[in-house]
Formats: sequence, structure tokens, C-alpha cells
Amino acid sequence: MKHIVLHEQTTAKVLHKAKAQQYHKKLVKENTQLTIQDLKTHEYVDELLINAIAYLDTLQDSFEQQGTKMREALRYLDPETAHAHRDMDSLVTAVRNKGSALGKSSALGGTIASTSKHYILGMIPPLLQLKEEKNRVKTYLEHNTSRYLPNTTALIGPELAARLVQLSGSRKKLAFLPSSSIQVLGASKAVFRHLREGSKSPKHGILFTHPLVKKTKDKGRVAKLLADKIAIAAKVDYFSGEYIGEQLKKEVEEQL
Amino acid sequence: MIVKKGKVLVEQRYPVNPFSSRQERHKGTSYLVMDPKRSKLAAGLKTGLQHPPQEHDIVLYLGASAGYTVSFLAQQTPLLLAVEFSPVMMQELLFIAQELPTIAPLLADARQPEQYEHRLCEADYLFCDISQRDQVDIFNKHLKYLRRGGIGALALKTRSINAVTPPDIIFKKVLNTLQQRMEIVEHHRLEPYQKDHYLIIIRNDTTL
Repeated sequence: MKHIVLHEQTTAKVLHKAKAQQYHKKLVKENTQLTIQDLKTHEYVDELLINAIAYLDTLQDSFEQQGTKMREALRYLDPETAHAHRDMDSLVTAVRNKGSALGKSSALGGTIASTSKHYILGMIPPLLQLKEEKNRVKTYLEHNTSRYLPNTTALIGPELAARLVQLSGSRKKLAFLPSSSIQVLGASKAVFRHLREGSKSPKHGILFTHPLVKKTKDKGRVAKLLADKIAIAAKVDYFSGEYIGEQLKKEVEEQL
Repeated sequence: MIVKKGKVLVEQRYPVNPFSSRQERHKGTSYLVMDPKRSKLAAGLKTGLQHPPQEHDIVLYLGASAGYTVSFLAQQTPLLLAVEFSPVMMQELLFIAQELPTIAPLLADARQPEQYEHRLCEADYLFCDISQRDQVDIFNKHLKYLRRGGIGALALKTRSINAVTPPDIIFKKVLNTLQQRMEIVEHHRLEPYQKDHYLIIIRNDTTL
């Protein structure tokens, strides 16, 4: 009798195990399918915004670095052109316009062999390409920010709007940030120094690059005011409310 | 370093494995090397964890990320429910899940378990590895999916809760709040491997 009971128990156990395995398989399959579906429907808006602004940064960096080396080389061939244009953008345009006429009318340039001249002129096309690429990314950013962050973009421009998304992590996180956090976004080092060691709190972070903040003497006040309106704009943008960008801009200008 | 037999799925930081002999490599047996600097579970094992997930435990893993720890665990469990919020990390996890049929991936926000609870089943082991300010709340919310007497592990990143307060003060506070509701089995400081991290092991007991 005892023997039979034991046997029954083990069959029940085996059956139970097989059932569990089947159930686990089903769970894995359905979850995988649902996850793949979720991935397919996911819109990578924030990710691409952040990618674009970071890409623009690297483009800007390499444009400046390569341009500096070009300017250095140009000094031996045509020092007048290299001296006249302080700004890298205008230097590249001037060099493109002159083309192979570079160095011909120069009074201070040295003696350059034709292979060396080729080497210097060869630096220009990649720079022009970089400039074009920069413009392409900028128009892409403008288009995307005015679509997904219309109010914030109207208030502070596409690049700064994308920068705020980059620093906060996503549009959602930006929308949930208080204005005091937005004011010091990008100055995390100073903020943590303030919290840890009790030094003075920073008055502005990345908002410093905004022309209104840059221009005034009372930077803290303007940054605070601007951050205030950005916080409103970001919230309206995230919950896709109506367009109030112009109104916010007017309010900022009035309170200045 | 924690070493175990199994399939190597995640890129290993030490490509030449010092533990497998030539014969074994010929046979196709490979050894997994679990880096305690990358996995909080491995760091816990190194610092004396007594209650790791057992074989035949169904694991609910929150914050699966790219699946480093998951790829080790999934080779011994009958089912591993891996919750991850970031779609980019989920892509990586899906590549691993293709190789390991025990992983059930869930792309969801662990703050709202109600949204995916119909896709879960009762777990024997809960592992929470989320670096967020409300990581303790998230852990608490998932205790109802843990069977009675099951083990819950909370990998606590104190820097996510407060970057300024000293880690041990935050840890004590968290331990106190957890102690009121459940039985704490053990806790470890993962110091040389993970900075400002703690591992808290609890037992799900409804009597408390």
C-alpha cells in the first residue's frame, strides 16, 4: 500500500514539474513577443535629440581643431589671410573663395614648394564638409525641437532647448524639474560643491550661453527669470498643451 | 573573481580564461568569470553573501540592464523575469535572451508594477538593482510578487538617494524602515568592488 502511495506522489511531482515547465515556456515566449512589440513602437525622440546635440559638439570640436592646424599652415603661405579672419567660420569661407590664388599676392609669406602648397590646400575640403555637416545637424535640431518642444524652443532657441534635454536626460525629466534646478543645470560641479562644502551656490549653468543672461550685469536674476519660464514651457511641451511660447517670451522681456 | 561553468554570452573583460585547461576548451566547456566590479551579485558573493539565488528558484530581476548578471543567473534558474526600462539596454538583453530560453524580458517602468503584473508569476527570489532615488519604494512594491518565505535582495546605491549624506547614515535609515516591515537576514557593504553600495537580504514573511 505504502509503495503505491509513494509512486503516486512521484508521478504527481513529475506531472507538476512538466506543467510548470510548459507554463514557464509560455511566459517566456509571450513576454518576449510583447517586449519586441514595445521596442518596435518605441519612438526614439529624446535619444535622437541628445545624440544630435552631442554630435554637433564633436563636429564643432573637430572643426575648431582641424581649422587651427589649417590656420597654422596657412601662416607660412599667406599670413595676411590667416591674420585678417579671427573667426574660424569666416576664415574657412575666405580660404575657399581664394582657392589656389592663396599666397600669390602675399607680401609676408615664405617660399613654399608646390607639394607643400598642395598639402595646405588639401586641408580645406574636409573643413568645408564639416561646416556643411554642422549646418545640416543644426537644421535637423531646429526642425525636431520646434516639433517636440515648441514652447521651449520659442523661448530659448533650438540648441539650448536640446542642451537642456541632454543635461536632464529626457523631456519628461526636464518637465518634472523645478525651475531652481533648471537654473543651475550644467553647473553640477558647483552645485555639489555648494551642498558638500557650503560654498556659494551657482547662479547659472548652461543658461549662461543665452544672450539675455550673457548681456546683463545681474546674471543671477535674469537666469532665475528665464529658468522660471523654461520650467513652464517644458511642462506645457511635455503634456502637449497649446502654444504659449510668444507669450512667455514677452513676459520675460517685460520683467527684465 | 567568481568562476562558474556555463555558456559565455557577455563580452568578458578577461578574454584569456586562466581557469580552463586546453582539454576543457577542446571539449567546449567554458568557465564564466563574473566580475564583482560589474555585477552587484558577484560583489555580494565576494563579501560573504549567504543567500544567493538557488537552483530551481524563479528569479524576478529588476533593473536587468544589458544583462551582465542576468546572463549568469539565467543559466541556473528555470525562469528569470527581467524588468528593464531603457529600450537601448533591452535590445542588448534580447540578444542574450535569444541564446538563453529562460529569460522573460519585460520592457517596463518598475515604478508601476500594476502595468505588467499580468505578465509575471510568483517568484522565489527578488533581486532589485535600480539606481534611482525611490529604489526602496520600488523594492517594496514588488514584494507582493515574492512567494511567502522567498528571499529578496536589494542592491542599494546610496548615492542615488542622496549624494551629500554619508552612505552609512542612509544605509541605517533604509535598514530601519525595512526592519519594521520584514525580517532582515543579512546585509553587506560592497565596498572594494562597488563604491557606496550595500546589499540587503530580506525574507518575505507575512507574520511581521
